[in-house]
Amino acid sequence: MSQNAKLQNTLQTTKPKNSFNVTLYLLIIPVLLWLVLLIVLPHLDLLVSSFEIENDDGEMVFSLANYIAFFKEEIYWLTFVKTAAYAIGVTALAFIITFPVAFYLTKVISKKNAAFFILLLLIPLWVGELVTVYGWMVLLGDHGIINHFLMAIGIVDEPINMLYTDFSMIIGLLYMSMLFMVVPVMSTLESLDDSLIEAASDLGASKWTIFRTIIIPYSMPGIVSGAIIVFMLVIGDYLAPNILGGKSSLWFTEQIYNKFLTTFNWNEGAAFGFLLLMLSSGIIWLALKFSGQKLDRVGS
Amino acid sequence: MSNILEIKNLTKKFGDFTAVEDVNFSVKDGGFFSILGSSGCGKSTLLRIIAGFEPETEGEVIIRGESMKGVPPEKRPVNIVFQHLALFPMMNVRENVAFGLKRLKLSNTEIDSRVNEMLSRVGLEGYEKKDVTALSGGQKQRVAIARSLVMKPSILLLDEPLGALDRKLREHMKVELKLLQREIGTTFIYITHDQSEALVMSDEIAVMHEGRFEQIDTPRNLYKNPKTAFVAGFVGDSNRFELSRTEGDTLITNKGWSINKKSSMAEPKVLYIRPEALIINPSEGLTDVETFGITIKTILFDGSNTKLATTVTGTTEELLISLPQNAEFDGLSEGQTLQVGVHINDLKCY
Ligand SMILES: Nc1ncnc2c1ncn2[C@@H]1O[C@H](COP(=O)(O)OP(=O)(O)OP(=O)(O)O)[C@@H](O)[C@H]1O
Ligand SMILES: [Mg+2]
Repeated sequence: MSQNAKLQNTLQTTKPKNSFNVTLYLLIIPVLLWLVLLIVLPHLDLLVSSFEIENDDGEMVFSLANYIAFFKEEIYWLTFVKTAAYAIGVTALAFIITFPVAFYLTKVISKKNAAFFILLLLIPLWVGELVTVYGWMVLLGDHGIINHFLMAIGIVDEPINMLYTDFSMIIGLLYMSMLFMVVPVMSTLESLDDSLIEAASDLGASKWTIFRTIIIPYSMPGIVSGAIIVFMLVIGDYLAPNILGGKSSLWFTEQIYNKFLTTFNWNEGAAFGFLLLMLSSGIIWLALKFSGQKLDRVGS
Repeated sequence: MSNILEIKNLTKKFGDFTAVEDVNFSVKDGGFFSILGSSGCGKSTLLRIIAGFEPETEGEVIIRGESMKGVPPEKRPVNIVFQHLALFPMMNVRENVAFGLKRLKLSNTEIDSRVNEMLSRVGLEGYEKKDVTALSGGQKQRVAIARSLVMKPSILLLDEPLGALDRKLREHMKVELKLLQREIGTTFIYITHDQSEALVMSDEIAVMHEGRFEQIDTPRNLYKNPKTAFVAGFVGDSNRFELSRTEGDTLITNKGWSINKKSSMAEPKVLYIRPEALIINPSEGLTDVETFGITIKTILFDGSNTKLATTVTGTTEELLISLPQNAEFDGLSEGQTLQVGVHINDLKCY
């Protein structure tokens, strides 16, 4: 991390100051346009409308009512907290499940075989989330393949209720986001020189110690960037909670959806959207702070 | 002194390819043993077998009288300095050096004192908090050596540790490493393809070629009395001549040069003569010295390593002769002819 920071420092100090570089500014214009027109402006519009309500005369006036509504209604902020907690949990699960896979693909099997398995891993992306979600419905339903199999071999007498629960929702969320953890973790693991592992074992480290003190710290930048992507995908996902989670699973995106499209209260919807944005940014900021990573390193 | 390491009939095969073939040697406690060989001859493989990273195909590694068969790397009383150092990039200098000690579950005060002692020994006091990625090549080198030495291994294995350094620094580290080894008395097994490193530092050198040991000897003997043609050609500079036949005591080269030599060998094939074994203008009355005429083609000036490129008069055989840089030979010029002599013991036939 500090290696990169130092590089940045030297880059900055060696950059000639006050030199007006026309080409550079010309090149920056498209980027700025893109940022402003497509990202900043719509969000600003949303931000403004989140602070507005319609008064009795049908005019829009400034108010905090939209945000107050959120805190007044228990179900809203319960959903909010649950969404955050589940998103963190799913991210952690995604790491636990995919890390051994990434390690296996980069360090155990040959490059050629690894390429084939990576292609297999990508299949869910080819067919899209909606199709995979329906796929899970077929698998997890009361008359689905898993229950059918469990009953056939006599483990259970009645179908287990898996679909439309938190369990099925988590499966769906994991399935659509896991890949985004594998890829960055694999790329850091690929750059891990095998002789580091050998050096550690030469110095008396057991397998577990090597994992804990060498492999994990080394792949931390990849893990953190993978975790950020997975977390953002999960916290903002709508399909898996809505279809696989059913009525009982509350997800904050569903609340936002309802505001916009069921109750047509766009102002409150905008406020909820902003709360979600702040929530995910806040959690990512905390995670970066505690893992000791810097955004510039994670991004590279 | 007893033998700290014994290698018996060690062979390593990768599939059909034999990387190490029937190697035998032993190293005395406190010795500096070098393995010298060209790239790809199996040096690293041999070292990795001793360290326990590669299982041997056949044979045995014995350390302090105990067979190492089936003993994993972390349980062997040896430590290795890797060819590319393998410092832990996410740790600072202190954490790198302390890594092995922490695994021994020593108290923090003991770890601190041993790390500090080792860092001052390799001249890195004050660098404890530095990132290893921010160090210079020579400093990284020292961290790698300190990280292994702090474990107080019975044997320290070094795999071309100076390979990545520039020439000046390498010359410097060479001397430093030798002094360090003398001071702490740990047995070093040192791998290199640089003969000067091996000759300067070692008590004993093994010359390795295509997985086999050609000769194990002291540096002086290796240089003076190479046992095989490969060693004669590999260690030090040599003029090499293909022999076509012998007539009694006379050796005749492919290009028609004949020189007298009482050879004990029945049918020698090649003749080696070191450039510095040739005496320019030998005085009369030297015994057992063969003299002949040469013509100077050009002078290859290289400071203390300056040589004359010559042809043996009357033949097309080319001969390099060391030219001492004292006033005596300042007047030599191209095209000049000279008498040179060589002691018959310096004519090496194989
Ligand atoms: N894991 C392996 N599988 C197959 N062949 C190998 C393996 N490791 C080494 N070899 C082969 O064994 C031979 C010796 O390799 P080794 O690394 O011991 O050479 P070296 O003497 O250390 O060379 P260098 O000076 O370049 O480091 C090489 O031809 C190499 O290709
Ligand atoms: Mg090698």
